[in-house]
Amino acid sequence: MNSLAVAVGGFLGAMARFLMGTWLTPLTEQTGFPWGTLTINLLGAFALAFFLTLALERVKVNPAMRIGFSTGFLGAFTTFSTFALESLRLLEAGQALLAAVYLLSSLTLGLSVTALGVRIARAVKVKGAAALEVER
Amino acid sequence: MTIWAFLSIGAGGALGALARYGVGVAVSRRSSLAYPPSTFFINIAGAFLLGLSAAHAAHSPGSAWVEKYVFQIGFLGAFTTFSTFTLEAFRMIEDGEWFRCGLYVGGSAVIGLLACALGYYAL
Repeated sequence: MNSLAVAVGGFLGAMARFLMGTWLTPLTEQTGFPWGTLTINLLGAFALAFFLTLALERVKVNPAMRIGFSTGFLGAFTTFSTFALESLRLLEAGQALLAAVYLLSSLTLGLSVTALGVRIARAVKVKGAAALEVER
Repeated sequence: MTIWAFLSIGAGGALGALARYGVGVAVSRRSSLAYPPSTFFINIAGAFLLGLSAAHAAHSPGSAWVEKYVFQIGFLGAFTTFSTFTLEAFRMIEDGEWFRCGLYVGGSAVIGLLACALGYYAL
């Protein structure tokens, strides 16, 4: 059941990445900077941190649904291989500075939005839990 | 861009996500191999294979769209992941493991880039 959920999530995640990448291609081509992958990875990193924290600490989510969306969809939506190849291509084109900016911004912003996602999820007040606190 | 190419990306993505999930489950059964996380090896291997495939596609202009859509964008794009990588790194920080986090993040970026270059220039 979990495997099926991962496969379905991966199917949709890869297509969503392609759609969003295609949508951002003009911006990437105009600026010479891989905005597509950067946007996708940051969006997915935030979503994963928010969703998994919510699902593991706040709200009961069916395990297959949880794994399908996190490992399947968001895991496939975000990517590391393209990130590495785009960095290499910037280096190959003599754009060492841009490559460094791409690498460092992906890593630092990726960690930042992850921290943000976890914080926001933990700040969510769940109705059931709030009621329990009142009863005590 | 036909609907078939679009669906091929999805099919490659389903296989890539399944492969990543399978490696993760297999590795977690052997706790001695839990560090570094399986995501590390998956991302390095995927970066190497994408470098190799990109070089192959560049050397053979008529190479099939299957390679681009199913393998590169679909399979390798979904096999490797960024969101789990940053979440794992963040959890190391939460556990006070700053050094491990630095090693994981820096190591993934540097070795990932090197692996991609190795694949790219190997052909």
